Amino acid sequence: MKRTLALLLVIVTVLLAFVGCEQGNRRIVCLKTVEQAAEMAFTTDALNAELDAFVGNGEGNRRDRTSFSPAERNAAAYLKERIASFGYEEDKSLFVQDFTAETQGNALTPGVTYNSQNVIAEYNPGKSQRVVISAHYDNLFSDITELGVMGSSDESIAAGATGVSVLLSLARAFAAQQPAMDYTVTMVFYGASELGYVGSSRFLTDWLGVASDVVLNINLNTISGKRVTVYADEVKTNHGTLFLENGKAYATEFAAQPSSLPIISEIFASNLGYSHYAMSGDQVYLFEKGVPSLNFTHGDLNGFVYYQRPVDTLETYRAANPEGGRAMADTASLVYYTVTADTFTAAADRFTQKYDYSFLMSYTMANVINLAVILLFAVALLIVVKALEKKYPKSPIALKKVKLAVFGMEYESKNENEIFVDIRPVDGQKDETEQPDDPFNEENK
Amino acid sequence: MNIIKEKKIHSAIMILLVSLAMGYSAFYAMRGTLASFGGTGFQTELFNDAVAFVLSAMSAGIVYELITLLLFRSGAHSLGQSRVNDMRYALRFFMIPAGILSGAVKTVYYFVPLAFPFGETLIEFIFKAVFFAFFIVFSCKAYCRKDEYAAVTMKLGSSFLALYGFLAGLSLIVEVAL
Repeated sequence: MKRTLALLLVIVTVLLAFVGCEQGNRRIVCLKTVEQAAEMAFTTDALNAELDAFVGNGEGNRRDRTSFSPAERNAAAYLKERIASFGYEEDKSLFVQDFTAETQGNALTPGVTYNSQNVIAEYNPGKSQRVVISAHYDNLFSDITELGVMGSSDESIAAGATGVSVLLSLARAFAAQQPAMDYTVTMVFYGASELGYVGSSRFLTDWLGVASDVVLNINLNTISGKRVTVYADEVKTNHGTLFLENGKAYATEFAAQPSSLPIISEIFASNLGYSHYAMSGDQVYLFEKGVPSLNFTHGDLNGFVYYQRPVDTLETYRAANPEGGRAMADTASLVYYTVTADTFTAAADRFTQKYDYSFLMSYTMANVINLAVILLFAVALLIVVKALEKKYPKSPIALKKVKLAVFGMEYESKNENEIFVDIRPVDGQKDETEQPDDPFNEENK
Repeated sequence: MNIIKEKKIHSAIMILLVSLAMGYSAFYAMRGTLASFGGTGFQTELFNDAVAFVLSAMSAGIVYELITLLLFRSGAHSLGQSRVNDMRYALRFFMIPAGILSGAVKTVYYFVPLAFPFGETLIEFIFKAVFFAFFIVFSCKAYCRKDEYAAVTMKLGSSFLALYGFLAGLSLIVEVAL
């Protein structure tokens, strides 16, 4: 009897596993193979719970995670503790990279040193190549008076905490599933990102050292809404195509950035001559080094509005994203199953292959060519002017001589260079040189 | 050509048309300028393509009129004030198609953003240079004696190239220095 019941239980469990179900607001991925049971870790409920736990509530909440502040350090401590609970060992696969940033002082005011930290977890350490997956956990909730930064009460839930939740779920999945991989997976929670991506900069220069062993760099920036933008590069790339193709299997729409985004002439990545909001993220420093990179960011970019709403709080996030957990769950699943796929190693060999557009990004070369074109026009102008001068020479102004025709014009020969003045009176015209009649002259009586 | 010589269209209308044409050419840069305010705390929710076009038309129109005023004023003593006024009026007829064509070609940015650095540097200058050449031909035939063709061509052409050469040189210096 007991054996029969046990057998029935197994059969029902297997049947449920193969049928799959959609229950209310929870989404459980249809299981086709036992190996895909890991997808159970990427449910909307699990991701929402991870987000809520990270932000916290009550007195010890972590809504304030202002860069360089004790609140940020508190959030880092939570992350470290959470990751450790997954089984990562401190100083072996779990690290805290402390770093500082200094302001320049002057004669009156000394410089100030600010402290922050990155929390780093590594799965499968020791491999010659690595995949870096990142998210930033700080915000600008409060003022940073010394830096003149005004706090905005912005909790960076959509733009930050969602990425943290996805990365935490990935860390848990790697630790729990122990997938066989050819790469080390380095999961980095960046601090001090809101003030110029300081954490990611320090991670590259001080912790990583060289970027050449990174085969792929994935930044989880804003994971919310029904659509997530996956920005890889300004041209089509193999890694961008891979994730976009794999992303079609999910309810969340994963799409490349629209090419009609407003182009900002300011330089964000040093290897690009312009910028736009799809590229705004912590992946930039590795991207500048030529590392194939992906930035998962807001899917409703219109290019003019950077943030989804003026203030990004947990409440506004929940109100605007009733299915917010779905985007996080789908992103976590997409990243996990793509990098752990058997075909990933072969695909990664082609990640660096792309159209080399470095020449087109050079404003210096464009200005040199512009000057050359201007010079050509100048030469053409000179040639045209010379031709016009030859065809339509300027008429010289001839100076003419003025002469008196003393004896009359009959005795003079006219020519173009002389003007004659005939001083003889015209017939009938009184000769003004004649003296008036003398009344005492006997002849005139 | 009588429309130009006889100034049949009011100057105000011409200024408006030039502003719109130049604004079309500067539209893509203005989109980026407005977008750059995002994330600064500035209220960017009102910014969109329509606002970008209006602002670019206003700014481009003002810049155009100021520059042509200064350039033609400097040429008045050699060309004559009356003739200079006529030429300034006529120039608008040639800069309108230059601006429109420049803006139309820059539509390529929507599809190939990579073209932005070179495009912003070269496209507008090339169209303006070509149409300015047409303007010089017209001015000589309409306002000058044949023996003045060479001098007027040199005066107008060198002023145009000097302005753009200065801007290009300045851009290059800034680019290299920074």
